[in-house]
Amino acid sequence: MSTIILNASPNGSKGNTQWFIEHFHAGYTLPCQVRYVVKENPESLAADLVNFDTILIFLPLYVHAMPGILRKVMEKMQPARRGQSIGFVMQAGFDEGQQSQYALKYFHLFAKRMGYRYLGTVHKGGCAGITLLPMPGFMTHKLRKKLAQLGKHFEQTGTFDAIIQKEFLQPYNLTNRQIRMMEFAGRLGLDELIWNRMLKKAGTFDKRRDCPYL
Amino acid sequence: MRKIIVHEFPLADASSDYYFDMEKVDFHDCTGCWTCWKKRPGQCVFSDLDQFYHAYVNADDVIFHLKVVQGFVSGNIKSLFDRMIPLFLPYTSYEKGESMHLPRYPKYPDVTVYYKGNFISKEEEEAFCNYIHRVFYQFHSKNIVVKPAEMKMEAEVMA
Repeated sequence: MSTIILNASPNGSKGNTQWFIEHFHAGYTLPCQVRYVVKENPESLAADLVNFDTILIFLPLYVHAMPGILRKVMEKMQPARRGQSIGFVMQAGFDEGQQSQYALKYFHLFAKRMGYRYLGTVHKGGCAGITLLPMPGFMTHKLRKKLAQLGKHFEQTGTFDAIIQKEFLQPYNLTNRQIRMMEFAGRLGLDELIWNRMLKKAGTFDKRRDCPYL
Repeated sequence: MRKIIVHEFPLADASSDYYFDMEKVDFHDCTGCWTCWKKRPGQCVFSDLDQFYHAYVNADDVIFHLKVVQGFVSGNIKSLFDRMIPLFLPYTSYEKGESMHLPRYPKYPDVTVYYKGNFISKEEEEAFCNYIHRVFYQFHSKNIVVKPAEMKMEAEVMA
């Protein structure tokens, strides 16, 4: 059974999506082929996908859905051949799982429309800082372990581990207590701290609220 | 009243202050570089959408004529949405009970989307409309209307 992994991040081999693929692959005994959407022609990549039994697409959530570069490949894809499967692994900056609901819905409908067996979508929020900061190893230890488990399970069964999939989607919504805490952190300026540090480093802190197109 | 039209298919319309023809304008996809949030706040690393950005943030109304492709927005429109990130701040607000990027500009236009194309189920059409609503809600537009292009043509015939 042949599986292809697509990295659909505009950042290609640098960034969170690649990090997710590497740790997912850590659970594999025989890693599969990975191709980078950003480096490919959408039409020829879409044509090549018919040669694989399983298509696994790793992506960042961009404006509640897939990045434009992936959309351009999807719109060139032909209906599935008999027995082909498709699944998605998506990571996002915002914490709540509900932010991904529009993408999750569409991926399901896309698989149905195109005749693929839908393997589901794994979504993990709260990932903005992983490669941006980058986060120290101990902070991502649990996530790395879970991704390797997800990969191992996928290689063995051809499906996503439902428990990890469910766990990753949490928190689906922020609780009132979490919102109050975030707002309190905001009043203290803590939520802006990381961005402001990066802006200061780039020498653009004073321009951070510029409105250049007015 | 400043009005702009972004279209993937022509549809008779009253005059507008700016016309963005998706078939004719070639622009880069978002590269996820975050230059617009770090190195040049509010400005994309590419200048190919500068006229569009200027027209969008200064408009009162934006009318989109969108093609439905496989029950969703086209790749070009998705790339346009991705490229609209410079119009917002990287900071997060929780005011509406969920994470949202803060506005960069004092106001954003009302948006009307007319769509044309085939859906294979009611569920697909509903998912498409919900997605468009959500995008412009996240983009801080106060009034968002999404409807089939035929409704606009019918209204014009009646008039």
